Amino acid sequence: MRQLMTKWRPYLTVFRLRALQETQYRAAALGGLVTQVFFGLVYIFLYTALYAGSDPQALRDTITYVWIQQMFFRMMFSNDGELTNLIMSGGVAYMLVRPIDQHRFWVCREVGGRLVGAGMRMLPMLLVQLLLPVELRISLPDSPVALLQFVLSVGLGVLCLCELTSIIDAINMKTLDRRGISAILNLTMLTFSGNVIPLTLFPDGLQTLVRYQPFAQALDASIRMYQHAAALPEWALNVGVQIAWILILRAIGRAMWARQLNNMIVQGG
Amino acid sequence: MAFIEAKGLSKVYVRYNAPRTGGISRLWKRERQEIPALTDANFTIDRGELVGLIGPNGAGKSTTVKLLTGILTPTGGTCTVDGRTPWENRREHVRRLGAVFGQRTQLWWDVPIRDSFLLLRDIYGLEEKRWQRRLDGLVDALELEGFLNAPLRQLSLGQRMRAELCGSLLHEPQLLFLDEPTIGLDAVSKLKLRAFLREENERGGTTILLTTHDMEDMLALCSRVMVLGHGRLLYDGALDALLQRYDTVHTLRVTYDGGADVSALTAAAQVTRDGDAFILTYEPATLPTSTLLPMVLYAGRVREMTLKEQNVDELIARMYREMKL
Amino acid sequence: MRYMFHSFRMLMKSAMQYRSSLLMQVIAQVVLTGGELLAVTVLLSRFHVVGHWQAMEIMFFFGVMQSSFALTELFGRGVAAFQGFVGRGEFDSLLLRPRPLLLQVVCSQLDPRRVGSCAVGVAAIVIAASRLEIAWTVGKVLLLAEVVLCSMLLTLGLFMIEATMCFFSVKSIEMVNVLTYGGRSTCQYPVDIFPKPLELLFTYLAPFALCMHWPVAWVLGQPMTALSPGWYFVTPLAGLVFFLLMTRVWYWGVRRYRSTGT
Repeated sequence: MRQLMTKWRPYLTVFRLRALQETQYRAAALGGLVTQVFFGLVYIFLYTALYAGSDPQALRDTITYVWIQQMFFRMMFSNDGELTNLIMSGGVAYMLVRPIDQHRFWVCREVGGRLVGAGMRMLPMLLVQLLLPVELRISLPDSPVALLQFVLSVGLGVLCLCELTSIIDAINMKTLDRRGISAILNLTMLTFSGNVIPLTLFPDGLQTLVRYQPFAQALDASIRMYQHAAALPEWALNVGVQIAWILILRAIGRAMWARQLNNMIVQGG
Repeated sequence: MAFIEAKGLSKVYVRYNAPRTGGISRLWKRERQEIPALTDANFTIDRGELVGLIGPNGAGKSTTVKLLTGILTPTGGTCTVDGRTPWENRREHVRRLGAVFGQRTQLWWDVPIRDSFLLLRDIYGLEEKRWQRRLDGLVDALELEGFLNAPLRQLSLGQRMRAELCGSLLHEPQLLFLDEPTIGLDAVSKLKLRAFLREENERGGTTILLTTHDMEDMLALCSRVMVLGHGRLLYDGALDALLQRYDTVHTLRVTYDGGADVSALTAAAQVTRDGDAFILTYEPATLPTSTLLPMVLYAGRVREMTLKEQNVDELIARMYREMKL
Repeated sequence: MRYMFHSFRMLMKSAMQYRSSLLMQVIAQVVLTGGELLAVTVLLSRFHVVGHWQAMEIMFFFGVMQSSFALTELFGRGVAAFQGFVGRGEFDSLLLRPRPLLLQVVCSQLDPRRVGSCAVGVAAIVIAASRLEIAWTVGKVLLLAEVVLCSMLLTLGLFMIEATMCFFSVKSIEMVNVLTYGGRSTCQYPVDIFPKPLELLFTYLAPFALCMHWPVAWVLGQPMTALSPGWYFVTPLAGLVFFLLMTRVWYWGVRRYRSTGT
């Protein structure tokens, strides 16, 4: 146990420090809050126009979906310049003179930043809900159980996203040209995680595919639990899919990091 | 057994470049190019030594450092540090060494530097008490008291470099690599930094390997230097001996009261005038200063006399020229 | 004008130095904007109509918005990326040159990647136009050109709000993105599908409706207002007015910057 503590200490510390650092970025949080509320409202107005009174329940669900996506928007992206700085300045050499697991280190750092960052935007956005007319507000969770399932699943979602980011980081280490590929990857992530359009509105024939692809595990899976408390077998399936994707992405990410760092060891970066 | 031992150490980089011609196929076609960065280097370094690594850009200095830190694997030869091969068990190896790569940073930009040090404590698994004692000592020696709670971005270049040094010494490494530690610093900061490094080397017994372009650093710190050029180790030995070998020309500046008969001097050395003063240029190897001096004194009443050895930077430039670097 | 032409030619040449990298980035932009187009298509395939608008009409609006916005980003990068420009101290060097400042800022940068987004926008217009039965006249074509030009000026004006805020050490500048990028996302749909407050915001404050939606709706044969046709050539000028207004504001910011030296 003691040994395990020592082994994990650097990773816990980096998690904690990054979380603390995130609390300093209040201006960015305020900017994010305003932007997310605005986009949330625009989407909701759009869906209200699209449904045109035809299916009130579906509209309610879509509104809730949009709000949760906007509340947790900060979870989607890294706003961490340190790794980019390190890659750009050639400081990656420092990574190689540290006796720790670099992949795990950066993933823990990401998780810390995103959890706190998302929290800082989510709580005020919940308060904003009270200012809105009822028909524009987020609905309550299906049941307390649904809420519990949702919270747990969001935690897994963050992990899933950070593993995804580590893959993107590995690609960036290789190409050094962040703009092109990153932009595409980010849009892919936004689209297939349901931020642009709720995944529930994708063509019905594609629903199974859409629902179990990796990006859906970020937040879509959690939102579905929020809106519909799953019975145990169904819940186990959904969480199982989340965990499976985390493990797969993690394996890919680790392999890519090892390869990248190894290339640097052979080629000098 | 020596602390660091390198035998026939070599490194060849392979680069793939996009061809300059060939239309659309340039997008995927690549040309293979081999770049020898270090060729057959042999040297040993003992525990507690402070060695300078010099040479022009692209001579193989950073390659050598990267090989010794285990960041790179060589293409040939062997090397051991404290009995271990750096690149074979990298994690175990790096636990015992510190590194400062000049102009790059290991500390975090946006958080107080104390937090970065805290993180380093956990990365190296240091004990709380030992870490605190070491940190206090380093903060004191490097005059970092006022800045511990400031984020790195608010520090001046000199303060930043001292903080980097502090970060790389927290875990009391046996071996410290410094890559151009004084680059861009002002005169006072340079002096302080050098004093600290000497102290760390002498009292702490840390073996230090230093790359630099700054000859003042060399003179102040290193008794031993290794000169690299085109990936080859060209000189390895005492700094004094190196200086003597290339320090062949001295100049003597003399001003006389009243007239002076410099005809004898003109015959022995090259003489030019600079206002009132005569400037004698001579080679101590053929004309010892002890022979020249009586002649200077005999020529008239000396009011003022200064002897100048060659400027070190000029000297190194000459050395590079003669070694055809 | 010659200065502008020469600057852009120089910038184009320097961008062409990295042809393969540029090509990749243009492709990236095509994918990005194509993705947004796909998203709109997904929605329309489910709902078919938005308010009284048919799918292809929505597509037409999307195309006009995307292409004019992309063109603004293409030529107006100097303004859009002004924050970094001031941050790096490059703006000061412009103050030393004997040319109109705003012109210099616009001429300082080009963003050729946006050709990709613009192409997708134009493709959307062409596809939509071919499916819709529009009685094209010379006047309508000219009006469309005017719409694009004025929308570009309006968007540039919106970017200038951000550029002005750079002079005052305001945090959370990205909030202005609500008007620029938020404006793009919102106004790629005709404003009359939104509730009144939002419609008013984008009609009179950031007048995308006047610049784009009203005249385009008339071209599509579905006028949003009861104006007589001649007026649709007048309302886009709101973009020009907005731009001129923001120019005044920006120069006021410059004066302040020079006297206080932030």
